[in-house]
Amino acid sequence: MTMKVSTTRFGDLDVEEKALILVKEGILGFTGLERYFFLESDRTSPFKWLQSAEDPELAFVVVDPRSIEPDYRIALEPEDAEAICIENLEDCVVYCIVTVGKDPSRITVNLAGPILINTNINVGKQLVLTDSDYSTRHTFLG
Amino acid sequence: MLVLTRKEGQTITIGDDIRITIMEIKSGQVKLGIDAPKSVTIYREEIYLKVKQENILAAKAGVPDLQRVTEAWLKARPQKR
Repeated sequence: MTMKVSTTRFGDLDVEEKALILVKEGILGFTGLERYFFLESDRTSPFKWLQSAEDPELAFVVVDPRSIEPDYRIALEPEDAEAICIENLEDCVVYCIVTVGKDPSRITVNLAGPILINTNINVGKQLVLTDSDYSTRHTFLG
Repeated sequence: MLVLTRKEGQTITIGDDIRITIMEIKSGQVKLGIDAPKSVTIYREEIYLKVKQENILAAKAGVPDLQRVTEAWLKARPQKR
């Protein structure tokens, strides 16, 4: 089953319903919008778009944090694990949101607010890592 | 804002199912114990606000930005190509 989704950046898209991800409680700042899907770029890039299925204007550039910080680790709180029904971390993928400033050379990654997704059920949540040293504005450019 | 004075070991209750206990007061810091349903997410406000603010900034990304970040990433990590 596919559904039509309008987006301001990419026009009208046909999205497989099973590709939809439920982001519980939404992305902070955009609560109430919980359904997203990925738009892949080419395979050489670890970056992709996370597009809202409900708000045509809402999309984020996201990246697997380990392609930025190979040792990236999350201390998972039990209530977060429960919220997205994780029994095994191998069932999960993690993405972090990328910010491109007005000056495009200012590119940062929000390592303190990872989105954890249980790929078995396509349910995820944006975590707020309170006890880590990770920055919301991690830079990876030299 | 409701302002309450509590001593170490005392608790306040919010609604039916949220309890906040003053665990310890020491050198300018208060240690709180919070009992709340799992559906209630509890954050330290400063980091919560930072993440939220960064999300709002990040949502302004335009179509060319994905290509830009990919190029920047490839340039920063030539050994990984």
